[in-house]
Amino acid sequence: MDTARFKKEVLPLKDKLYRFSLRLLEDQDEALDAIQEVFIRLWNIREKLDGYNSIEALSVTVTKNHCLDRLKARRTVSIEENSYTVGLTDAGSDLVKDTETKEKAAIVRQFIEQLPEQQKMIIQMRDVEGYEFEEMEKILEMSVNTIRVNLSRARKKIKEQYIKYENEELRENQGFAGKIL
Amino acid sequence: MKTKNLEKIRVLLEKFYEGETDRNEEELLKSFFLSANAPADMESDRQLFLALHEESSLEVPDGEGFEELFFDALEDIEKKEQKSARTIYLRFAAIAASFLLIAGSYFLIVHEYGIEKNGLSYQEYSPEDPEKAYKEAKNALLLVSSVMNKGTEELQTLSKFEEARNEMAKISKFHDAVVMIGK
Repeated sequence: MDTARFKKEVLPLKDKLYRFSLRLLEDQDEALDAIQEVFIRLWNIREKLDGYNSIEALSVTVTKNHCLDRLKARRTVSIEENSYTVGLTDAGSDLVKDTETKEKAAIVRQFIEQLPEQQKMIIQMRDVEGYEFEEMEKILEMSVNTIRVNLSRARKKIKEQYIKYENEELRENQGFAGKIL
Repeated sequence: MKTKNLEKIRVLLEKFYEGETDRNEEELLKSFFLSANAPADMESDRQLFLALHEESSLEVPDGEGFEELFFDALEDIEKKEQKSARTIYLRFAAIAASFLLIAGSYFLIVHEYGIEKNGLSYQEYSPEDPEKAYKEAKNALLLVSSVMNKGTEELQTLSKFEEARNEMAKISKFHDAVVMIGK
């Protein structure tokens, strides 16, 4: 595969891969850095790319592995800097409360961010990118049944969190109204 | 008709949360929540579908810049590879050059220097009695040769190899001289 074909067939996957790595890494700069590295890896094996059934499936797999590696490395660091991580989570829960002005989509995104990595990947692939279970099975190396179970848990969890958030909003507003009256 | 449609959506939603819907059914739910006014009790479902839809339109910020950056990174990698190939070549050249220098010096010392030194000594010598001189020279050379031979026996160690070679070369010159004087 030459530069022109790589540009035409592989690089257009960048948005999809970016969304995937952003879902896992939750940091824009790191996600961009990650997919840049993924593209370099794909470039290095460009001679062999035509041998794969789906370049997209391969690209997502490489991205998944790379992001999980980065998360693993991050965890090793955060064990050493334990206090720092705790500080971050505290700030995170504050954020949830301060989102009144933010869009509701951003709130739902925060609920997705609280899911376990596996469920994040499954939600991303199925409900954002619209992959079939057969494709997900290969990329995620999980059985269709495991994927379905985790998908169900993730969807339910997000809905549950959203309802909880709405009720809290309602209570706070009522409390506010009560104070005024 | 409308309530029937809504009923269908409710059934699909239930399936959706159990992870049992197929892609077509999920698309149906999505287009329902994106277009129709969903009833209030479906607000959380609607928000979920809207948010997921919004996520799917997210793009790499400055996509063209990203591609440029990628090709720049590739160029850098290629340059580094070329550079490392050049360093290997230079290292090889340096080894080859040092070898040539050592070998060159060896031949220069052994041949050029040796010939000139010995050549001068016997060409400038003009004996009055060739017969006597021949005997004297022969005796002297034999003596030197035997001493040298004794010496070379002790010069077998590797560290003294070059020294030994020098001495051996000198001996062969003496032999040449003997032959020439003989003429």
